[in-house]
Amino acid sequence: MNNGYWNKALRVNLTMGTISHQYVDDEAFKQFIGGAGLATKILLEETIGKINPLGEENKLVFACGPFQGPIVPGGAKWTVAAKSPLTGTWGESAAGAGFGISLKDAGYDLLIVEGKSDKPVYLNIVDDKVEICDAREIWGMDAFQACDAIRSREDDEKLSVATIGPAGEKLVALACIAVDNHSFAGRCGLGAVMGSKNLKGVAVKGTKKVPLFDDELLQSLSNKHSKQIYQSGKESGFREHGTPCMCTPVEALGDMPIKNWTGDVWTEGAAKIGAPNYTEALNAKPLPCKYCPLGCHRQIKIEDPEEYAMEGIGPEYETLGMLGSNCLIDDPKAIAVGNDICNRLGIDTISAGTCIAFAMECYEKGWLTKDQTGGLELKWGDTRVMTELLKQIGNRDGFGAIFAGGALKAAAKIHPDSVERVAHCKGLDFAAHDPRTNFSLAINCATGTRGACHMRGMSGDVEMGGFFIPELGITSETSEMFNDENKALLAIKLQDFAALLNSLVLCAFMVDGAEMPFQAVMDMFNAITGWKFSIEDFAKAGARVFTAQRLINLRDGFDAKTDNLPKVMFEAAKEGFRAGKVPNFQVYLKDYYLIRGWNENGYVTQPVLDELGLSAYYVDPGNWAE
Amino acid sequence: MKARVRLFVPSSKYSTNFIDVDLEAECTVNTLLEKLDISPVQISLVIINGEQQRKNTIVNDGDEVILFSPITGG
Repeated sequence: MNNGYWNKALRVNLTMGTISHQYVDDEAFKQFIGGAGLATKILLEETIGKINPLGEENKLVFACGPFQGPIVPGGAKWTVAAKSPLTGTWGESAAGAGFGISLKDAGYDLLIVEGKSDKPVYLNIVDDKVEICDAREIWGMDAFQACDAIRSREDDEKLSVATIGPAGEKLVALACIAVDNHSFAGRCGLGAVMGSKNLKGVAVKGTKKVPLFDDELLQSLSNKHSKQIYQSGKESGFREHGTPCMCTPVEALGDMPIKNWTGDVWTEGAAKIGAPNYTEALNAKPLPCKYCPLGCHRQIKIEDPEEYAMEGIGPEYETLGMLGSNCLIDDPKAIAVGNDICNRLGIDTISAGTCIAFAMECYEKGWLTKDQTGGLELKWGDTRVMTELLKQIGNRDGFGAIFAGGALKAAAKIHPDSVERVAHCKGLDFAAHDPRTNFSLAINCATGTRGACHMRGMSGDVEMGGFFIPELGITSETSEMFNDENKALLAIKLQDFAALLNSLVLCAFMVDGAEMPFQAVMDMFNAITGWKFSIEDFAKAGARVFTAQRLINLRDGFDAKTDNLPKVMFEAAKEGFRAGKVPNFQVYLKDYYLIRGWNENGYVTQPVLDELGLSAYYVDPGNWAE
Repeated sequence: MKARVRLFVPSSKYSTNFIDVDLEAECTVNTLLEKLDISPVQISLVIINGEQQRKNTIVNDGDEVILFSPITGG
């Protein structure tokens, strides 16, 4: 056994009702690090192309990395992966709270769930004791009730619990996984994969501590950087206000989605829903994940008006963008209620916001009428419409059931012209960052292995001057806004970097925002494992993970044909900061393939596979696409 | 000489509304920040009249200056 890892996967087959352990060798960790990287390896090796994401044959991997063992800042993050029912591509999502740390403390690097139970179940994992438990009485509960019910049934409040709500049970493709009633693996519909397996929840607790190579050095590094991160969060206002402090600046830069991505300026609205107004109106306080010195999540309490009264998790910037500005809703309390509906029913607020805003545009254009919507008048800015439609989507009920497969599939049913009004790449809806402000995001999202995502390559933050990685040659000189220089290179470096972070698994805010240097991340990794990784080794591991995810997508026919952007991202603003500007996408795409060493069809070439040590996964391109 | 200045610095005392700031000749963004009692390290993005600029750029009479603290995803 190596330091930092248990070299152990827990495998549960729900069809057979079997529980087994699997040895994972050091080489797998050296190549794929852990977390998303190791999940990529599992899915690449154990599944084939064209499988049904909601079929028994799909595998759901809950994965930790080396950063979940010790106490390190940002180590509460963990990864879950499967083939996505929303996109049909590699599906991956990360969450915080305490689940990853608990899984690691129970003695596992990975939990692989396969097959399908014939009745609702949950898993209860306490160190070596692993049970498949009857969940028939819990089935039908919302995600928070289910978490409470499992803890109560096991009589253990210290269990970390991942659950799905009714949306996951009903196979809604935007279903998320809730963790400890606090954090959410929102993207890619992985809650529906749990639902397809009749798996309502996974509870875990552990008492083991993985061995570390140099505990003293690690503690010293961890203490030093935790203090710096805390101080940085305090000085920047991030700790006081969380991600809602992004609303006003990104709106000013044209980065915030407005009116289903067709609006240009929304200054007053952004000020109403963003900090500091958010903090005051919602009585918001920091709600840190385990060991986190930054505390970006929000605990809120609304007392009036009575219809909005609630206490719990507050919306993040992304939710404020997708349920707020994108729907022209400027009441932070209404958005908080919408956020709570999503959390409890178990749907991703980003994809849900896309569905609502898209539906509002369809209604405005006459592609949807009151007769079709069950009487709902889908008018921009209508908070009651937003909350009602969220309930329908999450419960797969009424008109909202049309979104059960996501916005793109709904568009095909609503009106042929509406399809191009969905803001997505490969079926994954854009989060609240606009590639017409940060052009590198255009190529980043189009080629992203899970679709449109600003967090699987935070290149936009580099363009806006907020994030650099000098160790990788990413500086203030690399690429500025609105020019074409180095957009593809920047996207590639940040995609690989994000793949590495999600393999470690390390919260991106530690480095992007709180300014923990990349060198420090590597020093901590080496202190944990005792390996002597260089920056180049580290960067190469990220590239390996990203490329292996690309191979999974190529098997399913996602190649150059699907490396594209929706039409709306080529429509220039008429006013505001990005007026008249659109990304020079085809130029970036050509550069991207060239730098990656892929051919014109977007296939990974043999020399690249050889260089990354992925030759064993080579598949004849003729066999990839039908 | 005056510039119209908008600050996106959550930890500062200023709102995000435009304010008028008096300028001396050859005033740079750095000098402007000094007048506003904001440390230059708090600013990661400078936009003057809609264009991305540096902190040593000269601010001219009537310029619209927007200053941002580091912006990161969320």
